[in-house]
Amino acid sequence: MAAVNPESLSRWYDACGAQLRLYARQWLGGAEAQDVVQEVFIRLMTQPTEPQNVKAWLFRAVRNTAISQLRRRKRRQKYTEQLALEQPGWFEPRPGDLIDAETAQKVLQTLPSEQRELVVLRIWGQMTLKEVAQITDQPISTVFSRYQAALEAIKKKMETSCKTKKN
Amino acid sequence: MQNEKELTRPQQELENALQSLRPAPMNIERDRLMFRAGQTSGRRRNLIWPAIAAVLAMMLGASLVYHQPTPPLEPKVIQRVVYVPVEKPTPTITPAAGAAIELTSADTQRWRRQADYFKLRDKVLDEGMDALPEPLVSTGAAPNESWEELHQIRSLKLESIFNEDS
Repeated sequence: MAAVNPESLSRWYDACGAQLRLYARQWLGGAEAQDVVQEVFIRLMTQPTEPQNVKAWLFRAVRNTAISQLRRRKRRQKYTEQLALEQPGWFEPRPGDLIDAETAQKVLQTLPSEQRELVVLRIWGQMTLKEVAQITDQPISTVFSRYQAALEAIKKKMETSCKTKKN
Repeated sequence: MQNEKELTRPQQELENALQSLRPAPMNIERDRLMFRAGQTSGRRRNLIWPAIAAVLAMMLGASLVYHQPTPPLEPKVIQRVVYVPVEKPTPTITPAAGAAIELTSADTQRWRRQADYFKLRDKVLDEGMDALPEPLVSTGAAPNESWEELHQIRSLKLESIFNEDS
């Protein structure tokens, strides 16, 4: 396989850039997440050969780089994570959305990090269970059970949030 | 998505609803990203020749450090012709190559007499005339010639033979 050319890199940027930034937001703030995604795309360009699954490679690289950057600031890890979650702008609000973007972000922020990561990979990353298992180094059965648990938790919290708004 | 059937209907509906949300777009300057990616890629590719040069330099250094000792020079063989005076070989009677030699009793006696003669000659040459044996004393009739005359004749014969050899 040949190395990644600029045209291919541009296509992957258009297709996955936003999803990768959303994924990096699980660990980092908005600006840092953007830097991580940029660094990963540059690293993709320097690969001697194009990865077999470029999308999975990108998500895994973003995950590893974001976690590494987070570990460098161990003393302020909790503070940084909280700060990252509280920053607005995970989704772009549009009139045709079936769910309120702000509400969805708040609900996702309440999930455990392991579940939230799986939801982002499956729904917005469009990754298969097998790909998610490879990226997160977990068995497929564990990934699926956690994903189901995450959906149930989101559903309950969304219902609670809707009831609260009605009231 | 994989294992879609294992999700309940409510879960699938929630999944579809969440999927309708679009992640916030990137704020990275696309052109700048492409420039940086190309710059980094080009910088990496140019390391090939420096890497080759470094390997060759290491090999050269290793060959200079681990210099094998040269083997000792082999002695030079010089051939030259040296003329050495050689004595004239004594003529010997040798049978013709491949010829079959049939010895008779007469031949054997003749060879023996000749061998005895040459032995006596060599002895006289080494020790002088005194090496000649004492004449045999006959039991019968007196010799026609005196022993002294016979001794002289024998001496003359020996001298003639010596002259032939030289």
